[in-house]
Amino acid sequence: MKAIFGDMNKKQVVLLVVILAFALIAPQIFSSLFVRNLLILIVIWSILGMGWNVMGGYCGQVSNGHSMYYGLGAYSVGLTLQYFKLTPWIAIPLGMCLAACFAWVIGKPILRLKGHAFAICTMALAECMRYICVNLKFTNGAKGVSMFNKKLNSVLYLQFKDSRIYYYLYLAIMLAVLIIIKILSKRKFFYYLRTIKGNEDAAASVGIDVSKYKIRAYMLSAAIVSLGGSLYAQYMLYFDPASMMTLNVSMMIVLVAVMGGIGTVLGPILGAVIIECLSEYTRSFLGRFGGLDMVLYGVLVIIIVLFLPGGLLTLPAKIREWADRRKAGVTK
Amino acid sequence: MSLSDKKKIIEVKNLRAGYGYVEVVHDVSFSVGEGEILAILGSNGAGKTSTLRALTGEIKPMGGEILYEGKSIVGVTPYKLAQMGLSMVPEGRHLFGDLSVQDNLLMGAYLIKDQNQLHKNLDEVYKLFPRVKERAKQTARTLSGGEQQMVAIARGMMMNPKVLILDEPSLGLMPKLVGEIFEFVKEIARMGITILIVEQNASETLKFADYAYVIQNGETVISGTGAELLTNEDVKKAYLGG
Repeated sequence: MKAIFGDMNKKQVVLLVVILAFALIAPQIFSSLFVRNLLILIVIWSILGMGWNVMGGYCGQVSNGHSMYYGLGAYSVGLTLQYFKLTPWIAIPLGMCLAACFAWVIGKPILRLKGHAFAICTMALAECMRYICVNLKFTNGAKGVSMFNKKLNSVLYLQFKDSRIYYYLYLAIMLAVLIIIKILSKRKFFYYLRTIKGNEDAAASVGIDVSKYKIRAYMLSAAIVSLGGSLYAQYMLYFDPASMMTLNVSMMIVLVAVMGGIGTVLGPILGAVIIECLSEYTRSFLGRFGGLDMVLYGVLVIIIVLFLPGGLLTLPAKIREWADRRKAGVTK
Repeated sequence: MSLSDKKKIIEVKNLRAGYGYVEVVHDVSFSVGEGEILAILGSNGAGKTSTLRALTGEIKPMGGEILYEGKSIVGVTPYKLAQMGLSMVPEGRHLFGDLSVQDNLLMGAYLIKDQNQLHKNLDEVYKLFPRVKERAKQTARTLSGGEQQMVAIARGMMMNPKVLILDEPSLGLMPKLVGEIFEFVKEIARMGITILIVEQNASETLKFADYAYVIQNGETVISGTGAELLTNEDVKKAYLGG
């Protein structure tokens, strides 16, 4: 318990408990399918954001191609069901291992790249993966994978009629990921990542094996994003390469973490809440003006990057700072 | 080239190094005896930093030899050199900006796994740099230039190095602070740690260096004790302003 709440003050703990309580009763308050769908998407995107954050936020290596692991997670539950009738209880961890292995293999060469070169390379790799999935027969090509099957046992195959079951299950998984990251964030491993983000050369000069920790971060990041992909596929019961592995999805994953607070534990969750609410509501209200929701995103991102480079999580501190300055100005 | 009869800890012989096809260091040789302060002087672009980067494994030498405790360290990666006892304080400080000063120091002790030893080192470093202790909880980025340089040196000391390599520690600091930093360097040398210092500020450095080499156009051209070089006519003309 101390490892989780150790560095928070009483106010923050109370706030966290209130948010958690709200998260628990939310699907009971809102009976509309729209809101329940939104809640599930928030949980899934929180996981994606937290996954990206390990690599992009803590280690400082901005990947613009994490949709590749999102897709990999989805395919690993979809295809194992299609070919082997494998239960997602096994397929999901399998997909995470696969994603970590994949990250290890491609991480070896591409993690030598720095900054922009790395960002562009990951972007290109995700595009390659999409084309491969579209063109292979084995992955059903552009048709995508349909997982819906009435005859399957709902608990064993995670196919529920009531979306609340998905919500609670996914919320529990998200909380588990959150707790793991929170604990890790105080462990040496994450401190090594922060030094690499701070200065790679200096990290090496104090004896930290930079490439080893970079690759571990990349593997962990890939595994968490793959988990998110699996959960999404399991919830939608259908996916295709065009909706999973695009640049758009990659950028959304980045946005979730950057909006909320890059390199923070709770940032991605806040980011997911904002991005998903914005995305779903603008799409339903402004859907007839095609693309307007994307314009709104763009504006919001510009505002946040300009005024809150640390993400929305730094907003209270900024306001306090502003108020203090005003007070000081008044007394003068 | 041998200036003292002490046991050599670092020996560089006819080093050639550069970037891509461009050779910057053509023929640099020097050696450092155990517990000595060795200064490498030279103007901008003379090849000082490239020599250091070859020494610490950041660039691959094109020729020549680099020996550490009698063994070749050509091709050894920077983090492994750190494990062998070579501590590098890079030019321009390079702190971990988001971490607190204390965390910066603790990361410097990455190689030390024993908790007791770790705290002992931290205490010693704080004793050496009381100013750093005052700032322990502050984020490294918010320190002044001189304080950052102190933290960088303190961080380099945390791993119990045999050799401390300082790349232009006086860079961008005001004269009063430069003197202060050099006082610390002397203090560290008194603890028995070998010091290799690369500097543009020749007059101050020569005052406390045991031996010094001057690099010009990628070659070692002058060498001698600090006192000798201070009175050397060529050095005076080129680096000491007349």
